[in-house]
Amino acid sequence: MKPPNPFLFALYRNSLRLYPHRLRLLYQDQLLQTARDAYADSNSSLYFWPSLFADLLKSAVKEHLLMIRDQAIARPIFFHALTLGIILTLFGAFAAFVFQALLRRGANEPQAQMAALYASKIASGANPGEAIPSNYVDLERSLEPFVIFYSDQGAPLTATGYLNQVIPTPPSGVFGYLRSHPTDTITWQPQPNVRIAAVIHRVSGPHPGFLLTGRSLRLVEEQEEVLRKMVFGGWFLIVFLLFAGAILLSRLQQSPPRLVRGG
Amino acid sequence: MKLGPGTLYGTIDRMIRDQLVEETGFTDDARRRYYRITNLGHRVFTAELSRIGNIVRATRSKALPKGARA
Repeated sequence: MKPPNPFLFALYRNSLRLYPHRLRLLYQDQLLQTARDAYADSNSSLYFWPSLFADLLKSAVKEHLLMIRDQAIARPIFFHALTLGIILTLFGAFAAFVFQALLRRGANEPQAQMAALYASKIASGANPGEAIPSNYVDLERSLEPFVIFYSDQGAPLTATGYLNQVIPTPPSGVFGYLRSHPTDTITWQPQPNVRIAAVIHRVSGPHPGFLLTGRSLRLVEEQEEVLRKMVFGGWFLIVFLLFAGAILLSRLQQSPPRLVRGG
Repeated sequence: MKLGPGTLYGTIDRMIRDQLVEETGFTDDARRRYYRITNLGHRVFTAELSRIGNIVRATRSKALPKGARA
């Protein structure tokens, strides 16, 4: 009887860990002996080892799937609870994602209208300093929308929004993008504690430049945080109730029938 | 038909659980086990053989004439 390659055989023996524990415990010696016998009967070791490992992988996956099926049949309540839990988790995650996207989209709402209005005024010949109302919005503290007009080179000209008493300027890449696109919507973080939902328009005409309208995202981010807590809390409560119910039902089903004394 | 060791012992395990085969208890080597078919296993085997035979007969009876295309 020709002996199998010791390295490949040791690899096969260790790979038996891929099988479910119960099956390995019952048949490990027989699996190895059958592999030895099959090797002795084989004509080509070139074909034998790939087919042996392919069989191992295929049958290991199959045995695990069958084990899951058997467990699901043995404990259907847990299986249903798990399936329902997965569906609810996916549905909850999708709903939270949609709500968050709607909140963030809503954060651009007044700025988009303001940007279109001021951009059209300036494009039709109005002086930016006159078209934009005189106001002072501190970006760090205020939740009010603000407007900034930048020159064609990206230098700030006139504004209602200030950060540390200076007109802030977005990264130069923003202006680069707008040279080939009429408008852009960005989340701008001029400093770590300040995040702005900004809408920027490219303005052409006698006063070419860029018009930026923005608003602090603080309120929206607070709403997002509340939404996250509500979604997670709701999800946790539902999943807890689901599995608590499954455990309770399972115990009720397992409890032996009570003897009823005849009258 | 060639069965790999994993496929073989997975199948044997399920056949034991379904009481189609059983261990003989006889062994000439600790690493080898011998199994025998049970009465139930024999009945299931006969029924399965008959089912497959019926399929083959039904297929042959509906076979197209030689040279014809489906």
